[in-house]
Amino acid sequence: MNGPVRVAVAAVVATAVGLTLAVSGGFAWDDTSSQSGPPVPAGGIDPAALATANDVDATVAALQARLRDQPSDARSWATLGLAYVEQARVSGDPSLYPRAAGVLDRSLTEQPDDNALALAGQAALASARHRFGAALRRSEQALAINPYELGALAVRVDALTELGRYRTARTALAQADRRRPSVQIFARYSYAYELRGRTGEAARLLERAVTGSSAPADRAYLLSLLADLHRKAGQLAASGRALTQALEADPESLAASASRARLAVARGDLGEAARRWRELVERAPLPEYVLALGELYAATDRPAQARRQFDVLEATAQLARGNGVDTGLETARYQADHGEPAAALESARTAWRKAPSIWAADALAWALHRKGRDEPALRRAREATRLGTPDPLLWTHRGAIEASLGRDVPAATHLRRGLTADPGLSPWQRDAAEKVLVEVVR
Amino acid sequence: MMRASRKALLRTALVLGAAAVAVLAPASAASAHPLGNFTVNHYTGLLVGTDQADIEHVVDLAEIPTAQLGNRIDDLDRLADDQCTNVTDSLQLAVGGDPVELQLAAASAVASQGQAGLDVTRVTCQLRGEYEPLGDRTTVTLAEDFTGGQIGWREITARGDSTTLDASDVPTDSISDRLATYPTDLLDSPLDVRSASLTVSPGGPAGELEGAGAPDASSAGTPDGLGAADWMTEKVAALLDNGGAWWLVLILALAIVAGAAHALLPGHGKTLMAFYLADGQARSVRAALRVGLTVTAAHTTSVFVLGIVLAAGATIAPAPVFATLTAISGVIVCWLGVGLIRRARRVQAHDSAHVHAHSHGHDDGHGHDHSHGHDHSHKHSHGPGRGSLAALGIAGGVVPSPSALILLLVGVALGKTWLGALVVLAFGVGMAATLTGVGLAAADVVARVQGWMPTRRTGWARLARLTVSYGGAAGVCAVGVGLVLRSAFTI
Amino acid sequence: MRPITGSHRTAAAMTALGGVLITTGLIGLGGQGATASSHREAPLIAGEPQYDNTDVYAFRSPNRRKTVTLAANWIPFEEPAGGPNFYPWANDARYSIHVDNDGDAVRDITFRWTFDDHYRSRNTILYNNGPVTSLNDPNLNFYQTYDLERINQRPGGSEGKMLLNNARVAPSYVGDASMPDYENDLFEKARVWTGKPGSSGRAFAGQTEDSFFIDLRVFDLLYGGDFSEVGDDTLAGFNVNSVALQLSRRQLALRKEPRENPIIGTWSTTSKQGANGDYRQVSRLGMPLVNELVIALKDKDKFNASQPSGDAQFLDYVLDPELARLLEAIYGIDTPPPPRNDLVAVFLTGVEGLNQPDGVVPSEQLRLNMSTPVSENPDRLGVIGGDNQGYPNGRRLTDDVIDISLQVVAGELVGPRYENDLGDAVNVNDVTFRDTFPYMQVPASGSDTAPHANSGFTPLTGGDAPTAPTSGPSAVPVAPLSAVALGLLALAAGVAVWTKRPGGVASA
Repeated sequence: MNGPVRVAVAAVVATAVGLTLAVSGGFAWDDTSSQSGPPVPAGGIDPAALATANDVDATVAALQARLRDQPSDARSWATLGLAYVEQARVSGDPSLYPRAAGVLDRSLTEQPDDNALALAGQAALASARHRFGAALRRSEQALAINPYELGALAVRVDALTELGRYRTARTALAQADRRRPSVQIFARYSYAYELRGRTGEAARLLERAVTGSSAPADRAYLLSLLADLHRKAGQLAASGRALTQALEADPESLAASASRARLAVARGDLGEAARRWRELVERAPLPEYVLALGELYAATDRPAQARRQFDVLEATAQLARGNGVDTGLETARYQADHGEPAAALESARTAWRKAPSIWAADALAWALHRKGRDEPALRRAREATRLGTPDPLLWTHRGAIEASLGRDVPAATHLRRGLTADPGLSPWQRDAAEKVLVEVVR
Repeated sequence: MMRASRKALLRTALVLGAAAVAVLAPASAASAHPLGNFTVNHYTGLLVGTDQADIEHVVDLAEIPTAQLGNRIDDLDRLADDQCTNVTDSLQLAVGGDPVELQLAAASAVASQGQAGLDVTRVTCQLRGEYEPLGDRTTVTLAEDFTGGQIGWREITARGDSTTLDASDVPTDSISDRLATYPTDLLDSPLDVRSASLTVSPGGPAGELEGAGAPDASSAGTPDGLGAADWMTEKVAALLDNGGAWWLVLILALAIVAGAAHALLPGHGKTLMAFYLADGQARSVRAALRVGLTVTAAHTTSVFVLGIVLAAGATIAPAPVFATLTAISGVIVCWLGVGLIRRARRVQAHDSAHVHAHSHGHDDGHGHDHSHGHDHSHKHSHGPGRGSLAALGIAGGVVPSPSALILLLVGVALGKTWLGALVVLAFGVGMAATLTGVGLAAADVVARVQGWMPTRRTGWARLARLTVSYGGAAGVCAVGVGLVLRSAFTI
Repeated sequence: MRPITGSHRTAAAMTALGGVLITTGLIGLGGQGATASSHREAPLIAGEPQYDNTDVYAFRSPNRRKTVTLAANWIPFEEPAGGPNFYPWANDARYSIHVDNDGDAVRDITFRWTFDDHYRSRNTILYNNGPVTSLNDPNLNFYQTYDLERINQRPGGSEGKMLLNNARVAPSYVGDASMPDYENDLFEKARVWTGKPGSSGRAFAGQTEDSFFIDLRVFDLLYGGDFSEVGDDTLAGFNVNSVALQLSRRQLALRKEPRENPIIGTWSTTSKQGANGDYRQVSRLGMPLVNELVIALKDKDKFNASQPSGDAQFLDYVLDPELARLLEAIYGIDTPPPPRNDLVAVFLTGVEGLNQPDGVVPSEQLRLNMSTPVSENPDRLGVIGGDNQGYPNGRRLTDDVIDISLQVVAGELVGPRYENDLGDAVNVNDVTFRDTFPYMQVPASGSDTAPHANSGFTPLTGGDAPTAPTSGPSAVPVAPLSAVALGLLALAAGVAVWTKRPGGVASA
């Protein structure tokens, strides 16, 4: 072989050998294959700008596909985190929370600085887990970076409300509306009005929110809230219509099913109500639903079945204690009415410490009352009703405490107020309150 | 070097441990059941045979749904019966459009500890349905319609038993290991598959439900720890069941290729051979061939031995076996390395002897020509002796490859042991080809490199040559020591 | 037996290697298995697309050169078969195009569109129940009307004048069965005169085929991607909602003197009604891609809510754009060092001698010089392509704004040293534009079963090839293929060497 050929051959051989050794030495070949075809619009475009049919499941699928292709897209990770939290809220499946947490952490790894969206996602996640202090902190961190971040604005309002800081929440709400008027903010505005007893305005804003939202799950949720308002105002037909629309939009809506069960109670059809609660409890044994079913059995003279439901609640409470997860308010109310007053007081105190809202005040008041400590109970009950919220139990509890203290006139007023606040009130609670009222007016 | 690597290992372990603690601590605040405390999760495994279908259905009830069972949990048999009757009513199987009646064949329930002292329940149901023998490309559909709509994982898998699934919209294997371990990939949503649609044709390898104890063709008797077979091995395994002469040829050809490919993976002493042969130079083709054949023999033997042992039913954990064999090969390599060092020293001594000889005169009885490089012929061979070549071959081949082992076991499981053995042999041939080729090529390169090196026996040229030969020897030793260490850590 | 010679050894080695490499390569190719290809849909986070503006155009009407056409699009990614609601304009929003004709960064004229819903029957959710052959067709169950108001902003207060009241919006193109002749019956009929027929003012509101053409994968640049996979118009086959307005230059110029004051700046905004009834600006768009390429993520919302007069707060983004640094890092090309005064000219003040008003206050606006002659052969690269009538001097439908923006950010205007040919390899829209007002094309039909089939490669015209080196994840398995190739080569070489008789060749 002559010189140049020899060199060429040597070169080829050398390259070939090198490649072989490299390949066989485990330097992997590039196997990331990206997909051809119309691509998902890149994360550089505002994801909110791309919505048409508004379907959280489709969003999640698209984002997952995108992230497999472009794993350094911090914004898509954060959006996916928010989407998981949304999915969990809608479906009730809590296994999405750890995923959301992981995904949000990943977003912050990819972009540690100025990542308002991921912080907002973490705020939403904390809020969903009832950790309102953490939710508030995170949302404020997000807002420090981007004062217009919608998720952060909304969660901040939620956190302040649940922490009992109602005036600050109102200011935050107005600020959120100035910066990002949107369905999310209208829904919270409506809740703020409802808390203060301004139900007409609350209904109006909910209607506006319903027209503005196109995501089926959101529509169903908002329509259920509207149905609740109608029912509380005694407009049962309107309530039924709203629920029909809600279930048309999203047949799986938990909120709509619960509202329908309460509507059946309002109509006096306890058999139907029991059926609906049973269906719901089988699907999603959340403490609120299990308690409602248990109380319904208790009110319709089925103590054994009631006991079964209460046992499930005991299990939930046990889990909560083991987990460190906070379901304090539901536990407290259950324990006070059907379980151990001491346990009720402990749960209520913990809930109060963490988040001194009117609901925690009410739980504490009632637990104290069950323990016979009516003076401090009344103080708490007054706090619980200070906003004028038209919730039946806030008023019946206060009335019962006042009755216990011999203050018959305010007791009767408040008991009546509570009993007329919601025709869908749990029959067991209604019976208990009516009994006290009868005693008081005698 | 050992100390450095051990320190690094310790540090890594510490960091990993700390990270694990950090990760696990907050995780305790989340729900313990991987999918949430109030989920009810369903898995359905469908096995479509020519005239009957078997279904395994597993229900995993988390803490709260288990609590909802109340005292029914005390009578597990009754619970299993009730649950499985419900399952039988809720699953709809249709073959070719006609519904198939499902019968409950077995039901069992097990309660175990969940979180916070509460129980979780696992119910397993075996169902069976019979139908007319399948025609070609029959559509088979499975749907579940559990009333209650409980939140939870829903998964369906489908396989064929003496049938082939031409098309299927569900996988063959469960990604949750039949509800035992739920995957936690952040980019996967919890499964919600409630129906499956398949196109099935009669004829195909035998199959088993995932949960069945007996092995099936694609993982015939593979004890845990062997790792997954690669793409090509799986193809061969799948083909093994088919008969016919053409298939035989194809199988063997594929097996050769598989062996060749397998030998390209890290290990098997390719680099080692390169060093060795290069240093030994002369008659490398023959030497390389010899090594190759030895590798084949060693590999085939070890596969047969291990395969026979495993197929005979012995429950041996493969990991320690592999580790031991790796250690043995490591020791052999070390010994070879030492031999290389000795040879290098001899060459050096020879060179100095030449220097001395030259200073005394040309005639030293070797009859070589100084104008060549190292490529001179000596009476005492500088090339690798047969013994060392054999050792090299053994070192390269003694560790049986999981792929070959799997192939053998598949053959045994299918009752075609002879075919399995042939396949392993072909595999070995493929390995030998690769090793020979690579070794030759590398040797050639190294030889050329050495050929280009200046031939003077003194000064920096000598230093350069010494570096190359000692370096090569040291490299071999390092490889050997590394092998031993690696096996030591895995045992 | 033939003695084994060096060349034989070489041949044997190479042949063996060749075989091995081919095998390896084949394994590599085969082992990749089937990657599931999924139909990719646009991410659908609960957002508010109805308020999202996507593009603004301002250009001298090519067929009526004494007039200027202003157009703006909203609601991106409208899937043609997007029923049952299709894509109505929001009722609680004000869609506006603003004009600043004296360069002081404050709007002087606002054109405001507001929309109302109408249902012929509330008992059905259907958009239409029967073929629709006119805008008034009773079969069209849901339709919208709009008011168009011109508001002249004066220091003392603004004064508004209704240009159009309850004009009909061209409906979404539901499908061919529902709308047998969409173009003539509905689209054309939605073009109306704002004054007397034949006068200079014309208006249109309705659905159009998205006139923006871009491969959105260029934004993967932000994540370390590059231009190796571009060339598909991501927006092909999607529709948008458009408004368009054609006016005489006199109607827009300062003091109605277009010869003295030919330069106007424009931008569009969306304002949405809050819970307390007040309208808040939630979206703002002047020059295309500013929010995507110039403003950092954390300030995008702030930009959307801001006024041009406050744009000094974004000056740093223009003087030192991150995009330039990304282009440098990924391509190793040189971009001009900050401060980028050339970009200030493009984005904030207009280019001197072209579209920069006297005494301009820097602010982000799409600035059009209404006196620049209309090009007979428009160049998609506009000013940097030698066509002064193109972007950034106003924006025509055919201007390739992404290529222009990338090239400008990489320094095209600074000097020959920074000349480059960056781009997304999508040079024209997937459908051609119309010759007559509103120039944007009829929307894609809802009955089209494959509306996005045209998002294929655009053939490059000479000199436009992107110079980006291809690297990064590719669908082609590089290593296995090269292994196979090299293996074949080695095999061939080995055979060649082997067959050469040792005697007749000069030996090694």
